[in-house]
Amino acid sequence: MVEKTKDVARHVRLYYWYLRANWLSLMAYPVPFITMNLAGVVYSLGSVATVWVLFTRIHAIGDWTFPQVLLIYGLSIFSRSLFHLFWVELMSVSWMVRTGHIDRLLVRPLNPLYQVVAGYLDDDDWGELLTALILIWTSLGMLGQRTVWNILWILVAGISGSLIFASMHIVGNAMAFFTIESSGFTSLAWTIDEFARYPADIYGKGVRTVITWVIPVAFASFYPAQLVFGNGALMRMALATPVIALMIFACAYWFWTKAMDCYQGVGN
Amino acid sequence: MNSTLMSRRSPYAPRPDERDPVIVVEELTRHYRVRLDGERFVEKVSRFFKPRYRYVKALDGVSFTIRAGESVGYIGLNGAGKSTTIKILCGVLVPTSGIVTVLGVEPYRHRTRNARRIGLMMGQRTQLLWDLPVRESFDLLGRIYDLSRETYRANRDRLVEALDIGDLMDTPARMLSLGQKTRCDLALTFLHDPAVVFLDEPTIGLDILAREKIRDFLKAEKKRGVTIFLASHDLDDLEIVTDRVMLVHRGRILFDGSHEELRRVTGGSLGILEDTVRRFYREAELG
Amino acid sequence: MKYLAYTRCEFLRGFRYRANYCATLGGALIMVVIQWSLWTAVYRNTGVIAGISLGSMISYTMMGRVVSGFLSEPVALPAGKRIWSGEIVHDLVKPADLHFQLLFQNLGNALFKLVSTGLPLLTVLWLTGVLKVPRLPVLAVFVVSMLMGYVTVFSTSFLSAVVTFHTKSRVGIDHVYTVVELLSGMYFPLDFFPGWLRTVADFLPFKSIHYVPLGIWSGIIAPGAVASSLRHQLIWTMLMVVASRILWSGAVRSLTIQGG
Repeated sequence: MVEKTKDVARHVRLYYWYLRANWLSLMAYPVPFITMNLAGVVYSLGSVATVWVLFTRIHAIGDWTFPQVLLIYGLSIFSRSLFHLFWVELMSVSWMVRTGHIDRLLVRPLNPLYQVVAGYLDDDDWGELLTALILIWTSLGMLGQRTVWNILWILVAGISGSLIFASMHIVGNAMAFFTIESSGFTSLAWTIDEFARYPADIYGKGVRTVITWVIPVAFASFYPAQLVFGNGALMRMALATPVIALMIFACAYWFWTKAMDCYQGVGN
Repeated sequence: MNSTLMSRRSPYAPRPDERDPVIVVEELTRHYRVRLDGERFVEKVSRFFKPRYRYVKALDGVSFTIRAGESVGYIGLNGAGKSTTIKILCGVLVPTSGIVTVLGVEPYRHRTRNARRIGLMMGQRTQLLWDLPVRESFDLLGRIYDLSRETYRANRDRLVEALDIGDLMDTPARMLSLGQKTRCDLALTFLHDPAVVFLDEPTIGLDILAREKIRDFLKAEKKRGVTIFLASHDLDDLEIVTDRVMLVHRGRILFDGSHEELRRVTGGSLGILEDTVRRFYREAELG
Repeated sequence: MKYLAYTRCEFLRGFRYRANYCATLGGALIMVVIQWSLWTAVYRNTGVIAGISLGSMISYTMMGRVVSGFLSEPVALPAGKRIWSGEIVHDLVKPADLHFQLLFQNLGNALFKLVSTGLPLLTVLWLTGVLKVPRLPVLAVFVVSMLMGYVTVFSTSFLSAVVTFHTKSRVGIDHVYTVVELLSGMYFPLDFFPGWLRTVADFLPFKSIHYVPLGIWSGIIAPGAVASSLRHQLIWTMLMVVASRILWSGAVRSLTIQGG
């Protein structure tokens, strides 16, 4: 147990040095960094414009008003951008397996998943984070809910949500260890993310159960937003968000280790 | 004083056969499953629904022992099983059957423990941080291997000196030539004082001068008592750096002995290792 | 025609990855569920929005999912990446025109997606009664319109790749692709747009990717307006192909003369 704790502490300490190296690498090309992120803002505004255009015509989705839908939407892209910024290198697992770069990570005294994730910081997704923050700030204003507690809660929810997204993408990309070509699974994970964009109760009962208890993407936006709305009926679900996030992450990590075992050829 | 204790403390014992075994491999096999593609249009589409597989024996009963401080060359054609062997010894792959121990532990079961004591260099697959000065790669790797500040500085300075890369330390890796990159990679491989080093085609694509520098460095490391496992196509590398050579073909070891023995076995008069090896291959193909 | 060999080859390549295909089909089904649920919820309290009924809307968006693979941004299009990595030289020594080669190669990929994902999806939606297949003449016009949509979506990415080659910038159309998606009518028909945005979208070529074919399929584009929509598609398709040719030969010239 002491050994384990020490090991985790070592990984956390090292993360700073990885971050530093990643940040310096990004800064090696300042101009592309800026232009890519400006494009990133346009990209995110494109998806926000889609919601905005929709709401020039319609006044509610199901029973949810415009500011409520905006907060759910904002939370979903907040979680997603946090995931995207820090976990983007997961998308390279398939490439790493194909080219053998994954072997390099296996001959270092560190956790391989940690090395994949720590090895790169996204260069073009800071715009999405910015857009998410603007959306959340605006919707909180419209709802009259700009309190310190709400903002703190949004932060907790965002981190939990990013863990939920990360879990799905860990599973999707770990498929590369079985099938080498995993782009279908990767895009499946991206598609599942889409569930989080809209209020979870627009879906039928079956789907709602799945996105709550099996692939809990509804916890990346819909349930945590209920705390801000002060919705008594779903308050307990809202508060369960961080716990659910940790649980699904543990499952995803277990799957990753099994997939690695298969790649390394355990028991075949 | 107890002699076994002596030899364990110091890997530089005078008689090679008395040294501790560092790598022990017994009856090692490793199989792969390969998906078969159809030839014709109909076949391609039908195998989409019902795939067929073929099993390949990458390693088919390999045994050898390598003792501390030995320097061993590992040769074979492409696909003979060289890389598979190295991956198994590094803990990347798990054997299908057989026994493998490196420094007393099974590499796969104790992957991180093994990782701290071995070094691996794969030719043309750099571990340098691409956009950053070389120095940053050293710093990060020193931290990854938990080296104390003193050990880190001492090792780094020694390697920088030995490989003559002092001038490159502040250059971003992407601006280095292949030879420069290879030397930096080699230094990174030795940074944490590994007891065993696996080199997979370290001199691939390099010019004569760059090769010479690398061979000299490896010879010096051998003198320091590092066990070297060198897989290479370049027989000159092997002749200069190693004192024992193993020839692997279709997943089996065909020969294991000194360079002289190899020549003797194949007819004696052949002075060039390359011819010797070629003859061996031909016999293996016929047999 | 030799270029069809590229189409065939790329089409068959899709059959190599079985598990991957199952995942793609699963993803397509999920998008159908999301879109269907979203529009049903949106229409819960109203009958008609922007002149479009729920029935037409479902027809538009569901058919949109069926053809989405065929009309998706050609990520398999390696032009941008190849130009970057200098591998383009390999292509220049082959006795085929790279522009057309990529067009037909990617067509193979698009057709694979249409056959392997679109058709099963269409079958499911038809059997469950969600989608009704229109009369034969409408169907024929839809297919023609969809093919022009394919040329537009390909040309958009190809032009972007060639432009990034000329400007040496790293930002391409794929970095702002959500805007193209919105203007193409991928999420909902252009009828939802406010007046000024509608004017802009009507002028641009992107509506030819989703709005025109899907509008024809679902009847959102009135029969009287079909001819003018097709004319818009035809003009833009030709313009984009010609523009691609000109910029492309410029790129080839600068490569062969200045060596990249």
